[in-house]
Amino acid sequence: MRVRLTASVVVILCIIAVAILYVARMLQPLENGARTVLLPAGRFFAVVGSSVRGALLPDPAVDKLQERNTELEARLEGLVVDYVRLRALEEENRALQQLIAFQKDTGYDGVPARIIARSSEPRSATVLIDRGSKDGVETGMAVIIGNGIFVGKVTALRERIATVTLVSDERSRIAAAALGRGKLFGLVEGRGNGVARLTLVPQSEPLERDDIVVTAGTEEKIPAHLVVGIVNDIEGKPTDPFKNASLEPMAKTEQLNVVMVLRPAALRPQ
Amino acid sequence: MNRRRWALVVIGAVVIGLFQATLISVLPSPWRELQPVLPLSVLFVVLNRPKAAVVFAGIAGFIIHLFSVDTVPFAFIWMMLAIAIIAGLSRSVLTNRSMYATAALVFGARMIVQLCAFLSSFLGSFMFKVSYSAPSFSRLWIVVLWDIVFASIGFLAVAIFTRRFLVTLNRAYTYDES
Repeated sequence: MRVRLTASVVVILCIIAVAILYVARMLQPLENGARTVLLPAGRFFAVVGSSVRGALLPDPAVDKLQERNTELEARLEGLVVDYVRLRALEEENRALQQLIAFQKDTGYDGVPARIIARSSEPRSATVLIDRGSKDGVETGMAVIIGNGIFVGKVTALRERIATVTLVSDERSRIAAAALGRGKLFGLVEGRGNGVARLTLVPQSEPLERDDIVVTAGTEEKIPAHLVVGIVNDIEGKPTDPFKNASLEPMAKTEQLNVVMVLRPAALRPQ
Repeated sequence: MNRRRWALVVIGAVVIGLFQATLISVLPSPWRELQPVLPLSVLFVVLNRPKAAVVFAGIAGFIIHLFSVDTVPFAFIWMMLAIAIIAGLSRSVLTNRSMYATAALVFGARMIVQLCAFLSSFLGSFMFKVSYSAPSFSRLWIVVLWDIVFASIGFLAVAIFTRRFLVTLNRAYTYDES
């Protein structure tokens, strides 16, 4: 009996000791070392998981529809990006010139990253990527897919990994602008379950269904003109000071496997 | 337990921890609710290996902590604590070794972990001024269902392949070393 009691006390003391070490951040080097060693295995498991997910998701009855849907989404994605470019050229030539100049001056380059884990909470849309501070990634950097479709930003950082909070996450807030106007006009707030809303749009600002919402560029590490989503339904009475709208994010977060972290070229590791 | 078995426990914990943190987390629901670490740890308790159970839970929990996006602090500590409590319960209260007892122990362990997660979420926001997302109860029942199914299959597999839980068998013919 006494041996068991001693063993129980030892176990509880060990647990308390580990808790204290964790709170004092003394386990940080161990965590970083373990992550570095286990990251290749984590990537492998994530790749296998993506394949298994691909096998689990499609229903034989809707295979063709899904294929067609994917094709149309890809086309829509391409058209929206083309539309963004054309409108920017036609209506905001000067702004584009400034943007090009800005990109030449500061320069952004992309760090490709693989998603190795996802949040299991439906309200939370966060993913873990296999790039961290050692790869030049910093908190607040924009994460995109394709030709400039904004999916989220880096919110937590470790040496080898980083947490990306996606646009639809409840904690996500992105300064937004309407395409072609180039000024801050609202806020994109995540609502969980893959849904986002455009809020705090002044009543004086014109807003219509199918308008394209882009990043405003007012946040330090998020460049302007990255496509965030398309306006769906506009809500609010004409007497309200602000109007809101439901937003259809351009990126289907469930299908993300590889993303790109936008990093100023100056931060590229030598 | 000899060194070889301890090594197997450690390697198994790392692999299962990675499996749960990365592979399962990218699967669609309800598959992503499968969390094998806790039922496997309880199976160690049922097999009369409480130390191995705590070590398994600790290492696998630490791996989950390293690669998990759901940032509930001290997750691995809560897991070790839950298994230590369950090990104590299995020696003093729920002493029989049946599939139902195993299911009850797994259920108890999951409830302890869930309560601890809520506690740590509350303490995290209170003490460290950081908002941690606590696991929601809406998906808990799916997790519990998976736990019970997984533990029951594990128990049956152990019972069939090792004949360990046969009451007619003399204990001298079992693998019990304690």
